[in-house]
Amino acid sequence: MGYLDNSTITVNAVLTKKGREILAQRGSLNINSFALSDDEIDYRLYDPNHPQGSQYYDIALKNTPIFEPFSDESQVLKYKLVTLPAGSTAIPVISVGQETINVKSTFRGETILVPATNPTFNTKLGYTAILANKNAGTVIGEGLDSSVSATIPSFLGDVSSETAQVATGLRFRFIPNNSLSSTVNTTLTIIGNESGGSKTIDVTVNVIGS
Amino acid sequence: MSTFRTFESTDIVAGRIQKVSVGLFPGGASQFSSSFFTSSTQAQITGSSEFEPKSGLYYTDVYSEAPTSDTSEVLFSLTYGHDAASGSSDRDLSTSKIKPTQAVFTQYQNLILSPGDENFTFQSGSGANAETIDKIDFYAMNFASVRFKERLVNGRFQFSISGSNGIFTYVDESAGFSVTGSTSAKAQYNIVSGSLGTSTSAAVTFDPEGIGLIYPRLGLVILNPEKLAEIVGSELTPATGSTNGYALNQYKLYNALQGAITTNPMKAGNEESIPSRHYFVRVKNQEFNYSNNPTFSLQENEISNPNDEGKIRFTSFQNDPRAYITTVGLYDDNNELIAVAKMSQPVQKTFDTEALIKIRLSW
Repeated sequence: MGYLDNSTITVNAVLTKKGREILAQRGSLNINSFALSDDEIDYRLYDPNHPQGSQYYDIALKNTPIFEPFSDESQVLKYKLVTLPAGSTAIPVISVGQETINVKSTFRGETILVPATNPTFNTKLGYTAILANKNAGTVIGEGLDSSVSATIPSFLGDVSSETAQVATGLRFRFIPNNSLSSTVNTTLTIIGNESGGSKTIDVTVNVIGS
Repeated sequence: MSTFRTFESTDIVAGRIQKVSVGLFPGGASQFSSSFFTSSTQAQITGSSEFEPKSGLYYTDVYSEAPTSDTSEVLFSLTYGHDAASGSSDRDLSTSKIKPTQAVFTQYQNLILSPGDENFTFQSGSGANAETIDKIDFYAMNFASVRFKERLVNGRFQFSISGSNGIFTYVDESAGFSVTGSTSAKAQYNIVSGSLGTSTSAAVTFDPEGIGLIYPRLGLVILNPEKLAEIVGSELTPATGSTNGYALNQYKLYNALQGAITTNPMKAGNEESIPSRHYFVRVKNQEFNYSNNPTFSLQENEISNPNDEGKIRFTSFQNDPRAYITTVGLYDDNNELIAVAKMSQPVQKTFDTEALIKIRLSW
């Protein structure tokens, strides 16, 4: 006869930079909710045909080493676990209604982007738009209550994020840079601030004759 | 459908204070037996920086390694105080009048003694034989605050000093209590002859000899120069200053400590109270069984039919999804990420399982 394992997992948390800032300003933290993530996991390593049987299907996932916590709140919990009804066959997908933005630098108007999530999501915290190269133009977010100041995960990418521009909102306006001397090709990524899913579209601002 | 879950009031346990004690020396070591070092910049110097407080006239920092080493740390400072400025140079007493030893005496007097009390009082003997010794000078060993944190741990302090009469080892008298630690905390203890045993119950001579006092909450040890000189050796008798030179008597104590350290380790521990909250993250069976991780579902670049975007990668996951928790984020009412906790290994979550994760947040 063995003993039942009734142990609770106890882990230590570290304050993020934002947490320390808030503690210094308010003197309290007001933590009232939690979210879970699995940023380190590669589900493609799940093997439902593992030769040693079902106990080994997820052996690669369970053996994944885990990073220590980062204090930069924008670099953790990028992909959150989500509660969906049993039997769901898909994860909420973000769409923006168009696959590309392709405009001339002399274009004086603006491109309107209205992200949507299927099924409905991100209605409270909205979306984050990241224009990878801010020389291409300006992204303006609209529609969110200004008091909403949620932590937005960011992606450093392979190139310096110093060239990126970030905006949050329920819809976005893209205004091309009229003073470009050569064509700029870049990307615009829309991230669901609640769901964590994202959609990336190509952006081209053409300079005639360049 | 959500990625956040609100804590219930019973999920948060507040007001917990955890006392943490570790060794006081570099790396959390409880004893130190390497040579001490001082900095050449804290010797008596001349020129425009002569009277700078850091120049060595007031105190001398004692390092764990040569101060030029990147890993060198200040362990404590040594100083000498005298209420009539003995130890200052003749020139200082007549002309410059900064009187470092008097300044030191007064600052410790103001820090420790009651208003109107002009002397540091040491206890000699105990019971019916108890006597008090009033002194107008002292040596002080002042531990860096980063080392002693909130307080020195009672009953875990030991140091040895060497002189012409031999090496003598002392502890704080609380080392003789059967229970060490802050449960018996007082503001001040006598320094008594003895040494710490390997267990918490130490062999201690309880009869103080008027050697000194320890103030655990200040990380401060005050020593009686006259008694030290009588017991350990006359080298510890403070000197007066010369025509142009300061006595820098703290070096007498430094040399006495240095002479004993490699054979008789110094021992000390620190203690601090760390407030913490516990959050019980209850992940119920119906919750958090799916993931936004891009490898959990099919991505745009993996599909030929646009309608397949977002579909769960494995058919078996559609009936029996499995998510693997690696990170817990704690959010405030503005959805700002306040704290992060990482699991030591991924925790599987399915519709058949629940997880209870206790998060301890200290600051």
